[in-house]
Amino acid sequence: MGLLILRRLLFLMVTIIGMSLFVFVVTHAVPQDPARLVAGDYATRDTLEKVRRDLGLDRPVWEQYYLYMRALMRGDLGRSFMTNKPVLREILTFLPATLELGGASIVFSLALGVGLGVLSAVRRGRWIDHLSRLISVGGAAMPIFWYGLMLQLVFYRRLGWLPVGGRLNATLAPPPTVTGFYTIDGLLAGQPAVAWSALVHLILPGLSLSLVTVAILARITRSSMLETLAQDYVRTARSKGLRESRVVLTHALRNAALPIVTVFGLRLGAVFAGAVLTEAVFAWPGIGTYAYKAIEFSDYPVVIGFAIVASVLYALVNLMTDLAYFALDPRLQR
Amino acid sequence: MTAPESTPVTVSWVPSRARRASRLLRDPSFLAGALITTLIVIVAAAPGLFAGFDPLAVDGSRRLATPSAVHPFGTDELGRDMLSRVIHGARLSVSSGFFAVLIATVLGGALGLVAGYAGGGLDEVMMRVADIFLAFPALVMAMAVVAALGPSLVNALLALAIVWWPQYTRLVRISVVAAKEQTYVEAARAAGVPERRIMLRHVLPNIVSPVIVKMTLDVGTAILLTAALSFLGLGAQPPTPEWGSMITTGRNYMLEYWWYPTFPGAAIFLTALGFNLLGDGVRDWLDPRMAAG
Repeated sequence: MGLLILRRLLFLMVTIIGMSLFVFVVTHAVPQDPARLVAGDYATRDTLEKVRRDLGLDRPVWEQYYLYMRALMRGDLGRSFMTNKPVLREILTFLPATLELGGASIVFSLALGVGLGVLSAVRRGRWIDHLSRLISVGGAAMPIFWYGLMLQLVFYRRLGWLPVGGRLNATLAPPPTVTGFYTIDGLLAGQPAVAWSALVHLILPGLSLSLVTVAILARITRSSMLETLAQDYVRTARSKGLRESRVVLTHALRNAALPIVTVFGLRLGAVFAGAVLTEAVFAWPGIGTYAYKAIEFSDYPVVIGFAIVASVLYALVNLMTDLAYFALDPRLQR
Repeated sequence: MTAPESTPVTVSWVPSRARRASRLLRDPSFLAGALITTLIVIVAAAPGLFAGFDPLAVDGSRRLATPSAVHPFGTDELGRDMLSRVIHGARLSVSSGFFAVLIATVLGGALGLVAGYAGGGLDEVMMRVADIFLAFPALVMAMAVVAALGPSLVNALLALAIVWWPQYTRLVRISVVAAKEQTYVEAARAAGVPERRIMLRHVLPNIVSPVIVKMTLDVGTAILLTAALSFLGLGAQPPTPEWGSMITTGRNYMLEYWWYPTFPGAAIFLTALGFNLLGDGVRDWLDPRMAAG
């Protein structure tokens, strides 16, 4: 187990080096001049030269990369061209919003995906089974940004049940930062109205971000459950007179869990990618929105920093998934 | 194709390809997929035949008109007919999805063929590079690449191909590694056929079907991703009638004029759905071993 973690961390480092090199070369191979961006359109030639020197752009690319990587070892991702603030600190201020949204979508994915899968396995061939398969097929083909807009049309415009975007009602102030999650911080600060508003604002973006995962989980849960429900130990449990709910949830579902966890783990990383789109639709102030704005302004330190942070998160999530396997199936440890 | 089965069959019984084909023709979801994709490809091939209006023709007198008999999908903020724009968008979406997958296949496939056939250190290095690319969410990396190249539809699909090639490298490599142990390769080598010819004429034809299956399944995803990049402003630019960028403009008007982003999005959904259903069917037909599970 320790060896596995070590090997994964080593691979993560290689990935970061390779990825940053790739993005670095690509962003420096293009004709756009970042110095012009920082100095503005009306800068004189002297100012441009000075800015270029300050940013280290007059050095050869490999030297710039070396300096960048040396700074990275100290946890320094450079400064944003636009705001001139440290990229890492900016990313960290936007990260909790993305994590809270990701967390909500994970809760939705598990509840809806596994729930639908179990129900359609138990009620095979009934309407819930057909519905679940419809969602499986449709979810995989759904452009999630459009799905988010349609949710806004129905639940905000037509029904007026849920807010259209953002993290809080405009009349409320964000709670004092402890975790950065507005729902939790609201409760910690004793402001239930804030926590409630934060929770309500999570529903539509969370649903939108979870759709693809729900579709995939429902399908895999269904087939895995159908397999375990046909096993002898399930029949034994039933003939012992256990309640059906207990048979399904503890005997069958637990043994059906491994493929579900595998697929779920593979999807978790995709949640970060989907977050970019979902954040754009719901005006969600997370790292996706931050990176998207940075691309618009060719703010390369931010783009590269975002790419590195995203790949670290992605790798950590994959590592946690592997560890979850071991917890579920001790046989794999050997 | 009369070539022998190239990879060891792991399931107990696989019906013949002809039998699978006849079963496929009775599968309603495959038929639905085939119907949808055929219609969309026809529309994409000759949009002028189906569109009643010029997709770029501005008419200030009929701005943001509600869907009606004349404009079934309504009109946009410049009075352009939405149905005609959606119809013309089919060509861009289908061709960009198709070319993104094609470039990724050619690039990734060639690398996989070389890696699998050469083996050794070269193989090792190439696969580690592929791992690095795979250790990264596709959309995020495509965003970074487009950021560097500058936003346009061509750059968006190039970016997708750049992040996608390792999947094909892996698939082709593993198939080549399996195929090159086969007797017919040994026979060819014993007969003195040059290595390059063995690779291209003997191994390649035998590993084509999993690649075709993956390509069919990926076109739908590629259409979704190019539309997503366009939605983010990183793909097609206005006034091009591209579905993703139509949704970007349309969301500004959405709360008053629901039809504006609704129909382009429905078109993306239908197209991706069609290709996915078609891909599932092709997979069951060409590569039943992949269908298990």
